[in-house]
Amino acid sequence: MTIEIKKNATETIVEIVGRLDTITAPALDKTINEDIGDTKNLVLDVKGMEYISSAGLRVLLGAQKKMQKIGSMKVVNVCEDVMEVFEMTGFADILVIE
Amino acid sequence: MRLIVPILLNCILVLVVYLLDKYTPSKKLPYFAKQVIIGLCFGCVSAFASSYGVQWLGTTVNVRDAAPLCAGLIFGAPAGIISGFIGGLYRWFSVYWGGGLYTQFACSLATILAGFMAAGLRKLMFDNKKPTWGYGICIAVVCEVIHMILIFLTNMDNSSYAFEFVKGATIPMILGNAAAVGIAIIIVSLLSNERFSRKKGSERIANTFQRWLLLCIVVAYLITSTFTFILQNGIASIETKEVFTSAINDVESDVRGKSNAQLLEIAKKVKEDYENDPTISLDALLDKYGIVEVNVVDSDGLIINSTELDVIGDYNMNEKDQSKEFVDKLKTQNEFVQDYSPRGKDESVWRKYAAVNLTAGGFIQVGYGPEQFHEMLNEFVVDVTKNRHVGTSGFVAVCDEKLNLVIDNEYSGSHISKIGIVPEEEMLNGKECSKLYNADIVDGVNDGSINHLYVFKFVEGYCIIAAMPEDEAMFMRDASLYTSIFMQVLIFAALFIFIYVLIKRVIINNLKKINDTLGRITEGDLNVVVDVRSNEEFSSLSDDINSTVTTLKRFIAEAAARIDKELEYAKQIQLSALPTNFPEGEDYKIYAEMMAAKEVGGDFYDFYKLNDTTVAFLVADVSGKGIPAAMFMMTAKTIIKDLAESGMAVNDIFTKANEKLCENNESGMFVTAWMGILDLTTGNVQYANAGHNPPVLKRADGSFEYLKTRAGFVLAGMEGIRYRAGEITLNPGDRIFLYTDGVPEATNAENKLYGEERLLTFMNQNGSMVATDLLPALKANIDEFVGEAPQFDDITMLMFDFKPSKGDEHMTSKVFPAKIESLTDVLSYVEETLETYECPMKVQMAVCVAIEEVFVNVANYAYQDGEGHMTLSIGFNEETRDITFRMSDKGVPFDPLKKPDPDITLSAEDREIGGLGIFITKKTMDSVTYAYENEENILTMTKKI
Repeated sequence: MTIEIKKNATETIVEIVGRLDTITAPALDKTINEDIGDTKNLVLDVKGMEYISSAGLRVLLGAQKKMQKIGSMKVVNVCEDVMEVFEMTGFADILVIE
Repeated sequence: MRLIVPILLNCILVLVVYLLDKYTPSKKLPYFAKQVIIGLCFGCVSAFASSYGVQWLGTTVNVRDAAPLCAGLIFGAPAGIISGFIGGLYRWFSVYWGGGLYTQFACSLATILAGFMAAGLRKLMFDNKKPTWGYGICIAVVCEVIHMILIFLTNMDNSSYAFEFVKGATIPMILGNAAAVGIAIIIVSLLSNERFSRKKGSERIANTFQRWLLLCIVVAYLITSTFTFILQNGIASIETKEVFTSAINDVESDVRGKSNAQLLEIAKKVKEDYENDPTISLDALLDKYGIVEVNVVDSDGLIINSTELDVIGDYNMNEKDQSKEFVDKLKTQNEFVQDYSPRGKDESVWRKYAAVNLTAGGFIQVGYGPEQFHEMLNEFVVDVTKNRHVGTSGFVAVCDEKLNLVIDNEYSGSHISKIGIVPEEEMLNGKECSKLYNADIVDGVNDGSINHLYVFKFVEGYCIIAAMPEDEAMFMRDASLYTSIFMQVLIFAALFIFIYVLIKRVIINNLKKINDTLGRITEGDLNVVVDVRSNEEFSSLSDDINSTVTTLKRFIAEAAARIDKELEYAKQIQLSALPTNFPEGEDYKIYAEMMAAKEVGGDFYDFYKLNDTTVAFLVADVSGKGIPAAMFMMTAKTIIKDLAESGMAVNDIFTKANEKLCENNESGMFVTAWMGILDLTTGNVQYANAGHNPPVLKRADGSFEYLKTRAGFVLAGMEGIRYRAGEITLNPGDRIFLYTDGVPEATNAENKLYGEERLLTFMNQNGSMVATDLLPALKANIDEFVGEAPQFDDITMLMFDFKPSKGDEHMTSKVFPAKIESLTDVLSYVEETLETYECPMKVQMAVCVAIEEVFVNVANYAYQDGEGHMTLSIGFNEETRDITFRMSDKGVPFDPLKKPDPDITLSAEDREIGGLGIFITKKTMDSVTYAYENEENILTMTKKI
């Protein structure tokens, strides 16, 4: 999995490519908690993310909890397989998915 | 001045064509199309120059030849020939609109020749490149000289007219054409940024030779020309003098003959009168015959009677030479006439005497004075000279002692200076003429004067002058001078070209050939042979070079052979370092083979028992080839064995070995290796992979498959690398096949690789063979694939057999360490298995998520001390297309299915982190069951695909 951070005037975009599983999830967790700084608007671009397991979901949930206190977070470009997992686990309702 | 226009036009055209060619897309035109276009353009300029010239003797002095020369020399042979033809044909037809008929043939031919000359010289002398401006000028000069010679040759019947034309046209035409060509070449040279100054350093032989040859030729030309000039000048003077002398002699003999005859007649009459009457008054005779002197001389020479009273009886004729001549002559002959000369007795008086012998002895002498003499002869002299010509327009004139002309026109009686002859000293003193004199003599037809050459001679009191216009006198000289100088130009030019081309052919081209060959030899092609045989010297040079190269080759071959031998020893040593006592115990069997490539390589295998229950086996490949690789291999092998025998874990062995190998690894070599340490009691294999090819693993009841795990970095590549251990559990009957990259990277003649797929296919087809048969069979298969191509790399193969016994026949199983790090391996295994069942990607992902969740659970919670394994078995029912996953571990009993499902309707704040994994598993799989049997947690899941 690779993570790329892009910043513009209003929001921070984190692009995630690859598998977000038990092994890779800590890297994303670290990115969101440390690397993106004190951004108000976080966008997770998961266009290249083809796999997510519960570990990944946990990181997303943590991120959502953190961001909704200080600003907003949205998840964009969700592929079909991952969307199914989101729906199955109720994450479709928690996350702002575009 | 008029010639400047076509010269400029020519230069401008050269400029334009050059720029167009260099800076516009016309570059892309085919060569011949371009040549034709350039030829046409220059042909037009040639035609224009033909008409735009200076009129001279009925034809035109012009610079027509410059255009074909420029086209041919600067732009290319075909262009020159084409424009030459256009210019020549234009000249030929120009007679219909006013061109000179007289030089039609010569001029047309010369222009066509100019085109050919430019083309030929460019090819022959200048390697199809533009010559320097100096050569351009020389060529133009030679071309015009040919032009002039052609005019001569085609007008031999009127050579004086042709000569007149050539004399006037040569200089302007040579200068004009030479200037046009020279300037044109200079312009192009400037534009192409050529340096005019000579390049420093060594110079091409051709150039040195060309320059010195040119210098010699020019010097030789000047010498021969000077010599010719002097010679022709001398010949011309002599010839002119001869012409003059013969004319004068003619006149002289006429005059003398006439005067002699007349006086002798008188002398005879006087003798007759005297003998008839010896007492006759001599004075009476003077009046009667119009003479001035009568002497009667006795036989002794004494004057016995005379009209001059003072000499009677007093003067002996023998006293003076003048009078003695009479005495002497009349002894043998009867009569004698003496030339007009000074009198013996008194030399201030000029007389002409004649004498006749008297019958009684002695003689009688009569004499004329100048007045009587000339009175009598003048009329005759006029007649003699009147219609006499010297050459074509020369003449003979006669004047008297006072240099007054004896002639029948208006100059009669005038001093010769009236007609332009200013008497020189010799003439004034009546001396003999010693050389040719010059005088501007009045032209009778046109007003003015013409420069004449003349000589004179005093005869019988007259001065005979023969004169001829200098032009006429020197015509032959000039004509032959021009012809010979022109011919010399041609001969020397031809000589120059001939010698130059000869030297080029014989020496320079051969040198170049040899140099080229030597260049190829220097680049490493020792099989090239120098073969220049055009003459003995080059043959011997070629032979010498060839034998040098042969000797060199021999030495190289000997050195190579020596190295080969040493490599062979090295190979032997290397091979002997590999264990060959293959164990065939009940617990395990090992068999290995190494096929070294021609060069010594760095492959090795090794195996050894560490203690009663553990055995280590490995395969490794040192980068590179040759002695260094072999030595590095020995080092690596020893280090790994030492470390292994000290009882380290396999990953620590690699970590430590890496550190040791990195020390002093100046040559930057590295080793890839795969090593496994097997616990014979459990079948557990701890393995580590340092950048090596994945082994092929066969389960007792399954097919061969690659044990693809994430490989660590190569050994000796970088300090501080930490290697991880992988773990598998072998069941009885399982086999592990280790190999080096020589197997998958064996390459055939078409550059195709043997490849992992081919290897796997072969293994699956022949996997039941015993190792001692299987490995040779694989090698044979590889050889068959490779064909004729040489074996590039070492091929090393090792088969490890774990003793057979019956296992689960329906499922393939794999044991994984119960650690999060193994997750990737687990998922890879699942994915690979699913792929063999052609499982859709969507299902595959769902299954993977489920397996991950279960495995992560096991890894995190099953083993309290953190060490343990999970066995994953996968089965597939082809009829129902159900896949069964069986995941077992020996950890604390735990049923994950008992845990309540999380509330997925809660908001984010209220949702707990956790519990989702099993929920997802239950959701995605068709069935999930849990059992605890034989101290194992067993979770079984099914999924239809």
